[in-house]
Amino acid sequence: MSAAGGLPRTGSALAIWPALRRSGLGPGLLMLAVVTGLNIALQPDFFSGASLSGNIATFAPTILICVAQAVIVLSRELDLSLGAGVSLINCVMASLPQDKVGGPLGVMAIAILVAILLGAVNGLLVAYAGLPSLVATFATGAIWFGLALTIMPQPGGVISDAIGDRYAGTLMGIPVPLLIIAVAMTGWAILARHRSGRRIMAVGSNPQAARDAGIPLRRTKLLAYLVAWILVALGAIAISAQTLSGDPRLGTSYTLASVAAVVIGGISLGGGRGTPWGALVGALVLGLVTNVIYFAGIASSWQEFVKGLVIVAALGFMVLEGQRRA
Amino acid sequence: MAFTRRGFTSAGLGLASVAALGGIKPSQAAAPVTIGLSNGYFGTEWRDQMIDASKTQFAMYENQGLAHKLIVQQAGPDTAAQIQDVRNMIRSRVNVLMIDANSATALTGVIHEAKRAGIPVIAFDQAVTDPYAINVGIDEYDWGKHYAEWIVAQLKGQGRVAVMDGVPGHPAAVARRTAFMDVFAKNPGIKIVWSGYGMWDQAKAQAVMATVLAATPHIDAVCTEDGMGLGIMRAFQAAGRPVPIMTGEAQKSFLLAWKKERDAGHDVHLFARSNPPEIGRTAVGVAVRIAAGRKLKPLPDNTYHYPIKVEVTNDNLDQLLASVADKPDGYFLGEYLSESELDKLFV
Repeated sequence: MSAAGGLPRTGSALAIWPALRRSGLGPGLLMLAVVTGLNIALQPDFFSGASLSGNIATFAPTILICVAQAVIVLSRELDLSLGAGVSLINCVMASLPQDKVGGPLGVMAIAILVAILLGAVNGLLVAYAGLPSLVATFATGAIWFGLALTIMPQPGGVISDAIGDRYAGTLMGIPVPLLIIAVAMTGWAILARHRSGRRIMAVGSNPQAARDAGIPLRRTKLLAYLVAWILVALGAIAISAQTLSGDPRLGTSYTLASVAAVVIGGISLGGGRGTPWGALVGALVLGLVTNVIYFAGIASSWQEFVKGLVIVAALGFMVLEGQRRA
Repeated sequence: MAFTRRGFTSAGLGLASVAALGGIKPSQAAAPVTIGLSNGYFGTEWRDQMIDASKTQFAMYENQGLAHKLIVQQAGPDTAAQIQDVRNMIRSRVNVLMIDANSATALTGVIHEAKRAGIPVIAFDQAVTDPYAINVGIDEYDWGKHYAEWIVAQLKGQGRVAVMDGVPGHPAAVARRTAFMDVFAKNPGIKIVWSGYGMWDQAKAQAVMATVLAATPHIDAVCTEDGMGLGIMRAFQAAGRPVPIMTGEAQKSFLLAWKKERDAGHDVHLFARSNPPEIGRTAVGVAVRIAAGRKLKPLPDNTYHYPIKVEVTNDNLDQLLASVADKPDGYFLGEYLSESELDKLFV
């Protein structure tokens, strides 16, 4: 099999193309270029500091949650409870007595612990109990949502301004949301070079072969869930830093957005093929589409329509790619 | 609570003196006013009518040269999407923001961003907790109180009442429910035989009430609020039971069903109070004036409660139905502040 076999090699500048195709990132990057170009054309101050940092602050939670989904999808599973998990973490954060748990750092530490717990439950159900992830995480999602509603029957609570201010600020001149994304992606890059990260990919691309090679299937899938939910915690903290309050429905839309971003990013839903960078690209595309629609003055009711088109187009690319490989 | 609004008041003081005499009238030199309207939930008859009403009011000001552009964005139930919408509006430098928020608190962060950008914020329909925003809406508690008090009066303080609410956890539903329960608690003769939720959805309300009816043989009255009355009435009819003393919504479809019931010779005791989607018109009126630099008179808790005028009873049913003869069945009775009433809110 040669991914680049059918491509005419017209010059060295195109040498990057086969690599892109192998990663599945090509169509996603193309879409990203198009929506970024449109956004720049429609919004003259796109590159202004305020605009860029506003965009990053807006997109960061989605990016982190989409990358989380990507890690799980790469292990050939799915998690439909991410959005409800974000809501639950957010409600926990907003209902904590902020001063009594060690201030912002304590609140964030608890958020991460809760996320790890949720990820462990999902991971155990899927990897060890052998439940199909689609159904199991759909069910746990309902449980997370129910718990969120129990903790916080209506939107309210307080998340300390300190978290919000820090999120909106910069560290060493770099916007904090950008730093969080950089840390997350670096973390994945390190993991991917490590044995555990390679195992996640191996388990996803061919579970049988991975098992034959002596890779512990269950432990690896559980690891994928745990890694993903740490990213979900970061995403939940990032959105909570913007709403500064709790809302049991806050995360609802992230579940589908994360699956969409994974598809746009060229990550095979069958597992094993693609990279979390694809989900980052997918999340950016989804976010920028919304901006383009706004600045083009198109009625917002078209947003979902256009996003749907983008996802269908991404799926189409994927199918074409699959046929070409076959 | 003191009215402390910075940023735009000082910029507008000069204009305000000009404006004081003749309606809004900002000076001709004023920059064209752009309003950013961010709505949460949409696709319901109420919200659609609210957006249409806002556009109607805006068109009036546009014709008078008082406003230049109305940007409408509807985020749906997704708070993150609404945050993004509001950020985009701030970035495109609208002169004033109108927000119908999904939650009283979740937009706090982005309202702070508007404050930093010096853009006034009017939270209409759904009140928000952040003190920078000016709330324009109805008093949900008082609204619910009227409903419950009407029920108590009809029952002369004695009877078995079923209570159906909207969405659990929604601030308006919580306020109305609290009002219901407060009023009923003061009347020991009132026994609440059932209470639950119909999600502000006629079909859901009908299904829930059908179940309740099967289990509850004796119900004297149903206290419900907004958007579920028709479903409840249909559940009673489908069960072959007489329509009880009940409250409902000031929506044409409910009023038509009411009239049909009455014209069939039944003894009907129904009540509805308007919860006008035209609050959008009132809010646009406030927004345009603020953008023109006019200063609101001090408001308690930064909140203006629209004084509801229309209540539907057997006495004015026909007259009110005639007034909306050309409207679709989903139409809610509308009312809003006139230009002179709006002017009275300002210094």
